[in-house]
Formats: sequence, C-alpha cells, structure tokens
Amino acid sequence: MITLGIESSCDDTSIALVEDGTRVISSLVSSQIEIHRRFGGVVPEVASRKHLEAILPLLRDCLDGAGIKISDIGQVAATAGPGLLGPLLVGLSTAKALAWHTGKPLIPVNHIEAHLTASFLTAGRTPEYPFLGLIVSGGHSNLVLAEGPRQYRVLGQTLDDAPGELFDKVARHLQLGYPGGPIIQKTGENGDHKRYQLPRPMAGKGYTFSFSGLKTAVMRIVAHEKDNLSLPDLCASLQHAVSETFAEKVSMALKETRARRLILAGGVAANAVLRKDMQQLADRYRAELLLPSLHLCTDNAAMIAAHGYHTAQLAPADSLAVNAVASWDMGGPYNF
Amino acid sequence: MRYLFLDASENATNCQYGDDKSFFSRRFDTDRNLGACVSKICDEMLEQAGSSFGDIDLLSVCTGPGSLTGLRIAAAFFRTLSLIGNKPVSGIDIFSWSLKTLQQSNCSGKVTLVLPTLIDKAFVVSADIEQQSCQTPQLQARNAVGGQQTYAIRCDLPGCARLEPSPEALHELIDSRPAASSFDDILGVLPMYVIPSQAERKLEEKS
Repeated sequence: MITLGIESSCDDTSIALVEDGTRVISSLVSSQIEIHRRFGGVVPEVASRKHLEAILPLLRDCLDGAGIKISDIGQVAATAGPGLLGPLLVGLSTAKALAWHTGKPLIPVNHIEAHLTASFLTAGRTPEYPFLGLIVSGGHSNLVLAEGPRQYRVLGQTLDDAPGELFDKVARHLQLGYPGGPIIQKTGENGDHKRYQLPRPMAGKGYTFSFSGLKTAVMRIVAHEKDNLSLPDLCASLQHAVSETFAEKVSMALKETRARRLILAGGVAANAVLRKDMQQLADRYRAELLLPSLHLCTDNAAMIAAHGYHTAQLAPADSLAVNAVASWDMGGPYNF
Repeated sequence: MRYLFLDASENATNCQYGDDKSFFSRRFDTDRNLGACVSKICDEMLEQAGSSFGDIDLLSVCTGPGSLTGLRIAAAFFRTLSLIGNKPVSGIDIFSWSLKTLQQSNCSGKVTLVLPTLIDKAFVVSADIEQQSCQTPQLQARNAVGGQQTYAIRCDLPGCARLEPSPEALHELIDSRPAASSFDDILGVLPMYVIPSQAERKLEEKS
C-alpha cells in the first residue's frame, strides 16, 4: 500500500510516498532555512505563509516524479503535532482535502514518534519492539523506551533547551550563522575537544537533561578567552560535552531496561560525534544501533508516511475531525 | 453554475452554496477550531444543497483580510480540492465583496472602506462604487479613520457606517469573477492582505 505523507511542523515543507511503510518511493523537502536565516530563527507567521506557497508544487512534483496518481494512494498521513500551530494547520488541511476527496483514510501522526520510525525506514524494516529511543533535535531531547506502536515510557527529557536549540544559540552568539548544528560540527571538525573544560550537565542525576548551563559555560569561555579563543576547539569541546551527556544517560538506560536495540533520531542525530559515540555504546552493550540516513534525520514526510502506515490501526475512525496541536506527548491521545 | 464558498476570515466561518437559480448561506460557530471541522462543514453544506462534491462547478474562498490562520486553512483545503478534483477556484476579497454590497444597495460615488485588524490599526481602502474598483489597502491607525461615505466592515467604529457584506452580493460576485483552473493560477489564490509579523517589522526597522 502506498502512503502519502505530509510534514509541515516547523520550517520544512515535505511530501513523500512510501510503500508498505518500509520503502521510500519519493520524498521531497522544501526548506525555508534561507528565509529564516536573516531572523536568526524560525518565525512562525512567515513559516505558515511559505508552507502554503510550497505545498501544492511539492505535491504535484512528488506525484508526477514518481509516476503515481492520486487514485494509487492507499492512505494519507500527516503531522498533527507537536510543532508550530500555523504551519501544522497548512499541512493537515491539505491532507484532509486529499483524504476527504478520495475517501481514503487520514492518519494523524505524532512528529516525534515518527522520528524514531525514520531509523527503521532507513533500514527498510518494520519497527521491532522493545527499543530504546533517543530523540535529539532543535525542540526535543527525549529518552524513551518504546514498548509497542504508540506505547512509550518516557525515561527522561530536557528541563530547558534541546541540543539543537543549544547549538543554534551558541552559533548565534559566536556569529557563525544558522542553523547552528551543521556549522558547529564543521567548525569543530579538526578541533581539540579537550582544550576547553565544559560541564556534563545533570551527570549522575537520573535521566533528566539540561543544556542551558552548557550554553552559559560556553559564553563564559568566549568572554574569558577573547582574542585567544579557538573556535574549532570550542566547537569540538561543545559537541563532546553534549555527546558524553547523552552517552551517560543512554548507557544507564541500556543497563536498566536491558533493551537490545537503540535508535538515535532527530535533526541532531546527524551529528557525527554523537553517531560515533552511540555506536561505541551499542557495541559495548551488544545492542543493535539503528541510525537514520542523514536526509531522514531532519524533518521529512517519508518518516511521517512510514509511521502513519505502522500506526494506522490505532488512528481514530473520525480522523478528519482531529485537529493540529502544538504540544502532544508521545503516545498521547489524538486531539479533537 | 454550482459553487461552494468558504469565508474563514472571522472566528465563525461563513459558507455559501449557490447555483443558477438560488443560493443559501450558513454561519458555523467554529470559534478558531476550523482546522478540526473544515471537511464536516463542506459535508453539511453539500447535504443541505442535496448535492455532492462531483456536482460542484466552482470552488471559491475568501482571501481576506482577516484571521490569517483561518484564511490559510480554507485556502489550503480549497486549493488542494481544486488541484486534485479538477475544479476551478476563485478568491474573493472582503473589499470587493463589500463594494458589490454597496452597489446592490443603490449607493454611489467614492467611498472609504475600513477593516480593523487585531493590532491598533485598520486596513483602509479608497474605492469607487460605479467602477467597482479598489485602490491598494493601506494600514492606518484605527482612530484616524472616519468621515462621510466611510464604511466599517463587520464592526462599529466611531464616525463610520457599519457595513455587512451580503450573501446576494457574494452570489453575484462569484458569478462574475474569473476562476483559476490552471496550476499556476490555483497557486495564486492566497490570503491577500498580510500584516507583517513582529519579527519582520523589527527587521525592517533595523534595515
């Protein structure tokens, strides 16, 4: 069955076609990064406008490029939350029009849950449970134990900033540009990660994350070092501090839950240091690590289509009445 | 010609169905919840008309000014239906609709139309009833408007006569307005009067 996926929760408009939840037929993304760069972050009102402009050309290109007709689609899956409400409503309303007109089911999808499915999609596999999931992005930092489709036990989340947000804020402070994650990785590529001593926040304090203190620590170093500051060393040190913070919590979770499968997901999952550290950790615990391909790390509709396919049985019968919602816990009820 | 019209520029949603012989309007108390009920509203309108989507010849959607979220939901829904359902779609702005209403009420001459926004400003348009033409709307301070032949659309403003755009005027306007049927034209049916966000205003001030 072909699932048409629609994603518009933040600043990427995306349409994808996925077969049986495991094979990407086509996946197109229209990014607004250049538009929001001059604001130093995503402006929801501007993002909503751009989604509306981009979504129909993407839909047409996705279908035409794959040689698929609307009548070939078995179901429509769309992000219903969490995210920016204005952008979400553009994608969900487009999906509703498709479902309403064709009479095909609409599957509302939780965007964060879908990030975990991206790793299985990369491997061309159906999600297998249980698994330990670490979702790291610009808005999220969640460590969860997935026990079944839409069944999650949240082990830990961030008290303040998410890692992607931390990278954005630090990059802005250092006037490196936006988005921060890729720039910090590139700048720190040949840096010495031992040069600057940065804290490992909340170390030894359970599964809770906190990254705002790390941002303050970076700013202190910048102020102290002045002209002697080495940007490559600072970026390398920061990435290692973040990665080791995650490694400590994931290590503890692998031990306690005895999960034998670890999934890394979200935009920050593209970070090479974090990917390498997670691989070492998985090897140590003889767990299987599933990583999303780089283009499935960031927001995309392929993961939405795949997750919609795998959770279709759980979607409400009157899903056309489901509304978009800015905040939606993983595994939480659909919003009417 | 059978049409279905959706106006989500207010908290409530105004719909109209019409054909060559008659039309009817309904107001749905969607209260900023249009995202959840847009398809249900269409179902109810078509059911009341004893019609189906396949019978519709034209889709029409309000392009504002008004609630940007509501306008975008309606535009996203109707533009998609237009594309996949092969139905032409037209955009109706509230100023043209109001001007047609004044013409049908036998008003004449040059007028000023005022539509307040959520910020302390209002869209102000100079228009000509006989010509049925509107100049480009300007954002002005609310308290700076008023005077002879000045109409406040859907609200009470000091110094302005209140004007409710009428279903009869809409019916005539939809019938006379060209509709988009090519892909590029469908893409042009968008909310027309956008107030810059705070971030955009700040950036403009800086530059």
